[in-house]
Amino acid sequence: MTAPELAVWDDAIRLHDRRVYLSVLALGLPPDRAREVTQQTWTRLMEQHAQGKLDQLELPGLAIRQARFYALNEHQRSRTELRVLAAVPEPAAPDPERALASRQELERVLAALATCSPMARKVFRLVYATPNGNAASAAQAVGLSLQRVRQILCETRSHIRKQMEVAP
Amino acid sequence: MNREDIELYVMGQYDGDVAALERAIAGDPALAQIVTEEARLEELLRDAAAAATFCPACDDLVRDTRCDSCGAAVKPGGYTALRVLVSNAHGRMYVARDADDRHVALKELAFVQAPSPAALAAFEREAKFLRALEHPAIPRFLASFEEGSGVHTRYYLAQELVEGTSLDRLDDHWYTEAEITALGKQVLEVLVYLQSLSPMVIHRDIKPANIIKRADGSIALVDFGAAHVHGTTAGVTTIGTFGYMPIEQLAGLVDATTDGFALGMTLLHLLTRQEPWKLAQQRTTVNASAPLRAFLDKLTAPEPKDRFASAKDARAALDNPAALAVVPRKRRPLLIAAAAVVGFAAAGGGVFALAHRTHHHAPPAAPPLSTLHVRMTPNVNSLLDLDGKPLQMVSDGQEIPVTSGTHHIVVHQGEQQCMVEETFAGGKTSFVDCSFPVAPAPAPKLHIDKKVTWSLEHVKLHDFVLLAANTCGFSAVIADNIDSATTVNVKDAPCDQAFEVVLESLGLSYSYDPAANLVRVAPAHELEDEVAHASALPDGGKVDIDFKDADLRDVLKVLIGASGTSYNLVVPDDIHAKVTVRLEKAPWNHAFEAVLAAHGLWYRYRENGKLILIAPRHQIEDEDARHPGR
Repeated sequence: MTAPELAVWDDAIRLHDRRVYLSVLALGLPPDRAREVTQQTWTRLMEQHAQGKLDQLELPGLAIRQARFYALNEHQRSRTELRVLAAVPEPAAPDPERALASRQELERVLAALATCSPMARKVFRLVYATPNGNAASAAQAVGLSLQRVRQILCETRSHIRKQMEVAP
Repeated sequence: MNREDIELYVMGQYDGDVAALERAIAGDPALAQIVTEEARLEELLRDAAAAATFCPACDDLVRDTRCDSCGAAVKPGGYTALRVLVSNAHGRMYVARDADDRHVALKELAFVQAPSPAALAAFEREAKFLRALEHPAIPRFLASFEEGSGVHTRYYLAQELVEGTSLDRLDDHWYTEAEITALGKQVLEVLVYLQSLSPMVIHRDIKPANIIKRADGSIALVDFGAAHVHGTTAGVTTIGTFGYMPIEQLAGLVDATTDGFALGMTLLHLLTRQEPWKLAQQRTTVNASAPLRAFLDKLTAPEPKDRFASAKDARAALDNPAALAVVPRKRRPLLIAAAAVVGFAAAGGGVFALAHRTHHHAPPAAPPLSTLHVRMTPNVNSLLDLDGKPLQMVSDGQEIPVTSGTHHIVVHQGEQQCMVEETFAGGKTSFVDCSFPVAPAPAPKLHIDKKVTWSLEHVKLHDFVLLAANTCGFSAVIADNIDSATTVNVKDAPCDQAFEVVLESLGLSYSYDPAANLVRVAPAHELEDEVAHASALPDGGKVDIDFKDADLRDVLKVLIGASGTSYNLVVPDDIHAKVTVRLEKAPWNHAFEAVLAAHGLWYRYRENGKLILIAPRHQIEDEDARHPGR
């Protein structure tokens, strides 16, 4: 792999690593194993790319699918609690019921978000819907302390979590 | 270890010992379960954020092309609005992304009423100028287009986005003489270009807010909305900014010295950190050499004939300022330097005065600034007074530069005040803590963070309410028996508070119906005892109207027409009133009740026969008291 190619991968990893790591954590792997699986995923993708086996690099979707696959294997190998079965990797053919449930879940999150305060929505947008957004850049943008912005994020999550629990 | 730590960890925001946290998670299945839950939620939030469209002005979630809450555009003309740079009564300036992923400045012109020929002319003038201009310090024209019709018409102008900071936002910076000279040269070069065009173009609104400083130190001149082609009829329309423009511009007279004068006032503002109108009231010291003061003196001479004849002459003078210092001053021999400031006496309907202030040689040392850090609960935008003068709106965590020394600070949150006397030491941060008791279950109020700047002389209340409703994005109803005029001066204040403060100054208040986003303006005492209730009228259609001083009966008929049901309306003959109402997607029944309530009226609804009987509210209440349960 050439230096420019490596630089491209560095950028991709910097941009999407957290998202891939989260997807493995969400399957119930402990943090240390989740980190290993994430690294393994990137290594595998880089190898496949170098061998010309990847026509299209759709990130982070491809990395998330690969990481979930590894996570599932990990669970099966260690025969640990299979919380993972509740969220297996996406099936080859789209499952209409799963897609509908997933859409409904998103709608519920958006409905809950709509009931948050304007400042909470602003912070949410700056952190989650802005490229490279994080609490520090959001704090700078809204003129609040980093501590306060983190507090707002936690309050927003708590509000959405509660609304999701209440919603049918 | 608590849930918040894990939330922060999952978000990548945990500041503590991550390794220790991970060890704790590995050793505790309950914590591991929380991590899994929070990671799933985090994924969901990221997916939701990717699927959502946020309003670029108020961050509300938008499902259409325009925000239901504040009216800001989301995707005008194929552009994606990213954020609002400036917002005023006439429209907004967005940072937007075009189809090629380039960031552009998108200027929107909105109207309270159907656009007037003058408003359209100004917009078309700006588009025409920009299309023809080609200079590195002038944003490139990209496109102009319109959307909507009638009162919903919006005109757009897309220009190259100038990344930088406008000079009015750098007013805490102490400019050196070298910086002022360099800035003057750069702006004059743009003016030389504009004056070299045939016919010559005059910007007419040079001021710090219209000069953008880029990161590389170069400047850009923006906002050609007031620009004028020399030789065309100026008319009597006054365009420009008080304080910066020369006195003859008030009479519509402009020439090659006009922009130079405004530049001179701009440079004086930056040099003294005093706005031009304040220069007329205070003894202000100019920290500059004699040649520069002589240059500014000539640039801002009250009489056009005493100024530099053109931008080219002024530019040349800056290259050889020493020559200026020896020019004998015939007109003002006693003045070392002078700032000519246009003062505006509103009461006289146009009495203007020129004031000259003596400037002294001794340059003041820039005092070291300290930082006032406001900590406030609940976190509600509040007004902060510094040493008895209203300073600005503040929220929790906000930091404000202040001079060293002891200051009296008052934070106003509604009727509550938090008063603190604090001594600030040079360069350090001092915290001011204000904890306000939370009032139990307040009546619903508008909550619009969007900042507005209103400068309105003797505006009629009805016009002001319509303007506020349109700018801030809510529906409004006001009866004709409430009428007065007021002067409104609000700068960069949140919509909701600015609106409330203006009403309060007139002894008025408003009730707010969140379900309809509907405001009803009424005398404060009339609203005190009002209790929210569910409408007895069935839900139906939503209504969009914009009427000023319309007949009450006509408005009621329009609302019933929008209900989608054939109701029979009975209005006693002795009920006559006018109403001003602006509704945007308001449920008909909420709007119907608000219009009645605004006139002290109410109704009875008989489902059998779909009959709505209108009567004075006190009459209905008396009847209810006599026949409870009716």
